[in-house]
Amino acid sequence: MKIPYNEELRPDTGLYNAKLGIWLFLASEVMLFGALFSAYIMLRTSYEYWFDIKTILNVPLATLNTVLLITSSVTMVMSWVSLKMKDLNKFKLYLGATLLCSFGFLIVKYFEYSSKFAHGLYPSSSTSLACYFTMTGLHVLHVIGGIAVFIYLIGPGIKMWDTEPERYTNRIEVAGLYWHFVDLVWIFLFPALYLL
Amino acid sequence: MSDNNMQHHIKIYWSVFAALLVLTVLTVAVSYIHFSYMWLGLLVGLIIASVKGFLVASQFMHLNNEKNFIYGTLIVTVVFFFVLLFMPLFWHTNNIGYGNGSFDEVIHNVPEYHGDEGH
Repeated sequence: MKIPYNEELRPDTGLYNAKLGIWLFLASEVMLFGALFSAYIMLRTSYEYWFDIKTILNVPLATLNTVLLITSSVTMVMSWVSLKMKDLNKFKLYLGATLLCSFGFLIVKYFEYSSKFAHGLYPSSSTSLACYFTMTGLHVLHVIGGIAVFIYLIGPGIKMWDTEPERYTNRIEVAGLYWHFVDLVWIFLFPALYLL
Repeated sequence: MSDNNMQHHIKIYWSVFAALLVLTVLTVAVSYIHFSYMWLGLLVGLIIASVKGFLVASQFMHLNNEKNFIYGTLIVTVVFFFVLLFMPLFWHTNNIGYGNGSFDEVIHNVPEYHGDEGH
């Protein structure tokens, strides 16, 4: 049995199913991160003494991570464009670059976290550090989730290109939407935690 | 999409990428400026982040040209997001009646508890 609306658009929504699904998922993600941002604002404004983590966080490393995520976002959208133009080699190149950037993000994050732990700074050390670890930790989990999807899509999942190229292109678009959202969250996390 | 159209899109994607890099540098630079009002620094930071967010959402996520169903979903999400954001803040700032003495009487007149003595 063929699952309907994998490629063709559903007349009532004007979308293929996966795109509708990912947008509903992203809507729920907005609420998830929204709850954390809300808690962060409330905790920060209500504390009489707020341990300022700006002084102990590494801004140059976080800026590098911002650049890595932005780069991975543009290579992701370019990988989708390459598939639209039926250029599989270019697609692999761009998705590979996206993977490389996302691994780079993880490596930088590893160094950031381990330097905090080396100085005895844990989530339990202060409320501000608890906010920092919770918010960046959840974001890192999203990056890891994205990497797992990319590895599948460039690895065993690429077989679909030979049988259902349209559906495979849609999968890349949907994975891209998720990835841009992860980038979007970081765009707000970076100034909120590191700079303000 | 035609090839010509695609080339136009590719140009936009790389321009957005350049704009995002410039705005990232700006975000970091602004954080080193000492604003006379704390809220001003916060506002500038928030505006730059929002512009970056807008660029990613409108261009990379194609929200500049999407179906109404997605817009509808997102409008509902934005409404609930703001409710979520402000709900605890309202609760936090809701101290009407506290600190002006109106509760003192209630607190001070609580009868002393002598345990269950069976009377």
